[in-house]
Amino acid sequence: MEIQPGIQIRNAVDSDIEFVIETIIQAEKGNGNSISYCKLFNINELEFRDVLDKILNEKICNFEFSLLNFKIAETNGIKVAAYAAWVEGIVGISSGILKISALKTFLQKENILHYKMSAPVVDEISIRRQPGTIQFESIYIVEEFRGKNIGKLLVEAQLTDLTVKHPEVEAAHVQLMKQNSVSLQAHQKYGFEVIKEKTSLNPQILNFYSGDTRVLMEIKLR
Amino acid sequence: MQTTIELITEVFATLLKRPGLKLTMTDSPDTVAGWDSLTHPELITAIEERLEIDFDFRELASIKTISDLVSLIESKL
Repeated sequence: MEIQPGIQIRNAVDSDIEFVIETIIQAEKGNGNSISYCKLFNINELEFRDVLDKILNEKICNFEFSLLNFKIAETNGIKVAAYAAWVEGIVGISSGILKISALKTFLQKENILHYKMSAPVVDEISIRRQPGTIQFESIYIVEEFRGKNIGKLLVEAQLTDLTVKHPEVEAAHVQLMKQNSVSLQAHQKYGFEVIKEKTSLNPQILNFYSGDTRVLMEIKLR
Repeated sequence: MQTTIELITEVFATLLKRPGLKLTMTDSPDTVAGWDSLTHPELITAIEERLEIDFDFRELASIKTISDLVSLIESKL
């Protein structure tokens, strides 16, 4: 695999918010070319982008919509990739509760009611994030920069930073839809192995995702 | 007069369909069955509507335990 020369990896800052929003949107679309959040909350993509902008500007850490959890890859000042990671539950609150708190704050009550009806279907393939593990979420690499090892650089940069800050961490996890074979194979190259699968037999799951199975992948750190 | 934790307990018991639920100040989503990311927005919204208060994201992100929720509510009354 060619290694792209001149790639710099750095922490995301305020001026990266637009690129981070694009990262989250494109990562979501990688799960089936649609955005599950839009279906869960009955909002369109523009509304979701607006909500993400508000959430990211809050700069609250330790969940997938935190600007401060993203690392950016750039070359010659051009942003080419991003990936988020954090240690689950390190502040005493789960990333799931943080995320739904953020969405509740910036969405309308009817959107939350829609979520209440829809979420049990998605929950059938949800895998609880293990407290104390590094969690990766939302990777996006600009198309012409794929296949150049940039994803691995981002994973390694996140692991290095987080294990220095939290040496007690024993594993890093990522959850993907099984049908997203490109991302699954890429993560195998980054060093992750599939350790768990969860499948829904409910056909309604396909209203939210293009597949019925979520996989949990792991890198053992110790 | 109902205390703050009694009010929270009443809301949780009703929405989680757990009559007889007894909450303590140290309880959290890890210790209260049914308090999770699916039910959290409904629980918080019910408390907000009952007391006619609003929580912003930064405040919600500080709620780790029932004690945190009690303190937050009482700071707004």
